Amino acid sequence: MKFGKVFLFVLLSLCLIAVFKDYLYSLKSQASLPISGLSKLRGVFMKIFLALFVAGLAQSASADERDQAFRIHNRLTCEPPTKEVLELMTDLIKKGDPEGAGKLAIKNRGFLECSVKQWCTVQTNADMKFDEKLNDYCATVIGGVRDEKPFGELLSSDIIYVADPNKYMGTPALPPYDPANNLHYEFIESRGLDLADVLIEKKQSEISGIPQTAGILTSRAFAAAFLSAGTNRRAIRFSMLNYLCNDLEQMSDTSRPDAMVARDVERDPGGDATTYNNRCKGCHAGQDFFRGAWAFYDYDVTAMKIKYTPGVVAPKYNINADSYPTGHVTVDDKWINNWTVGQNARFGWPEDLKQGNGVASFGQMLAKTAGFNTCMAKRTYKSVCASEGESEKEKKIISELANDFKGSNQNLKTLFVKTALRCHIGE
Amino acid sequence: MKLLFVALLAIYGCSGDSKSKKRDLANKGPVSEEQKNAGEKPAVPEPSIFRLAIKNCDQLLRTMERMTGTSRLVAPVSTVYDNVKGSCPTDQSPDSFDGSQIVAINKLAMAFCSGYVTTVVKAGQITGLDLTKAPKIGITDAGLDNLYSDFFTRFYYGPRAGVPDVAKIKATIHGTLKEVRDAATTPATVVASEAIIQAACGSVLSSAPVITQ
Repeated sequence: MKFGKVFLFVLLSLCLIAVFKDYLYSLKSQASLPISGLSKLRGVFMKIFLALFVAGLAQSASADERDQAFRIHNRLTCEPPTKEVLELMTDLIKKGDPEGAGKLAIKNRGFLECSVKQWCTVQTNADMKFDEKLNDYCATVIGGVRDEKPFGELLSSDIIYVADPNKYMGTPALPPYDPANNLHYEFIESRGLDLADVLIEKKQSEISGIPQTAGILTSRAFAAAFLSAGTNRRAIRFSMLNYLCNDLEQMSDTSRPDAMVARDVERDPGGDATTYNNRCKGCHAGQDFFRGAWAFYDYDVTAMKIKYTPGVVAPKYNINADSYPTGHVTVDDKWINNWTVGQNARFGWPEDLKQGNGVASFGQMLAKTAGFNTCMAKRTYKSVCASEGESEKEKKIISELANDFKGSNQNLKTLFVKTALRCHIGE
Repeated sequence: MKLLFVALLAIYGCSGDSKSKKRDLANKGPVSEEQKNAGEKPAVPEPSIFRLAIKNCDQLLRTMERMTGTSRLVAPVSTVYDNVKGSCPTDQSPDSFDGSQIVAINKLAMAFCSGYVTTVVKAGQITGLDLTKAPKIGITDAGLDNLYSDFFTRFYYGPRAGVPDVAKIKATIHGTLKEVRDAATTPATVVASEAIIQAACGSVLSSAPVITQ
């Protein structure tokens, strides 16, 4: 760590010279500063930047109530508080009500529009980038957090959030929600509309044209990222990553039966059956059992919208049948959790939902899994505390936060606040 | 300049060491009799959950908007952001902070400071700074003092635990910036005054809010 900081320090010095060199040349062309003045100007900016940046790096863990209030606000909303809010938060912390301070902080727009948005945006693209444009998935998460919906319900309910057209009368007009593009949400964001104010809850089935919906799992953004092309296995992989914080490699279990592994998976890749048995099977024996959930869904890359075919399995499910002709053929949207036994039993799957039909029941199953609560706590901890939470101390905190999250009826807003208090005050 | 760099490096290195040692000691706690008797090393201390983090561009846009009062949604900020977006920090760890990210942040800060100069300095909110005049006349010593005070209350939220010793840094900056101001004489122009203030603002703004905890 020390080496990293020293390296950073040297790097800063070098880069700042380059930055200001360009700037000062342009300055020189406008203002007749002599060369000696230019070099001194560069010097002063270097000193300012370095002194302040290095001082910032050396910040200590100790903090009084005002500093705690500042940090909590910064972390929960992406930005520092106004002077008034800072004073109010400081007073609340001094009076022994840090949760009140946190709740005050999240009234700032930055909570929903920056912190929560970045928290969910990583779940909507395969690269896990946080700086993508607002989309229907995140608008629904943001609306759900604002309205304190049980977060797990967003994975199965017939729900979506859109902007209330009555809340924006400007020109150009707000593009209506369209299941074939993202313009509605991009407009909301580019105009800086207040998401806490403009978002309203709608029935997804009524505006998307899809009768069987499952909240964010049937959102356009989710489909574009995880249902386009391929075999819909990506949807399973990212469901595990997004909601259980584990990739398939980490869940691989070759001890499970492979009766539902599809025909496109070779059983002797490269002529070696042991590769399948010792490697491929580990993931497919879970993934392919779940895959039926999205059997009637595809993402049409030409129309740029979800293609839903009730009762008809998407052709991608049964392609490349020659690879292993006696493999499983998907005929409906049934899914089975094949990981309730074996090493993946550790996730604490719900006893009453080991199989089902369609995405909604699959989403319910995920949301009722103990690992879902832990994953949400872990994601929030990373977002608010800037840490992966790998130490034993942090794992304990995350475990406690997960319990709190479950106890709060999966209230993500409360989870954010409690997490901020844990890493900035130690409550 | 080299001396300054070496001095800062040394100061930082020393302070970083002593701080981390103190934290290590605090985390380790007392060594138990059992450990002493067994001749075992104390258990590896759990790291503090205190973390420094580099803000990403969305966080910086909001932060700089709050600090300068300049909207992030309009030019020049929006234009600059579109250009530097690809170079924004994407990892919170200070160890991964690199040169292109510093450049991007600095450009953003300069854009925000353009607004700051217009809405704050040119509006006469900083007594002792008159940007309609050449540097030596328009930028008075008292004006610079007021400017720093404004920077530090605006960008650092005044004296807070865990933030730099503002008075000490301020004293260092003040002397050097005065020299720069006095050097811009032949022939002095109004543009130079504005540029000096904007760049000074950009330097502070590109460092002050970048780190959070």
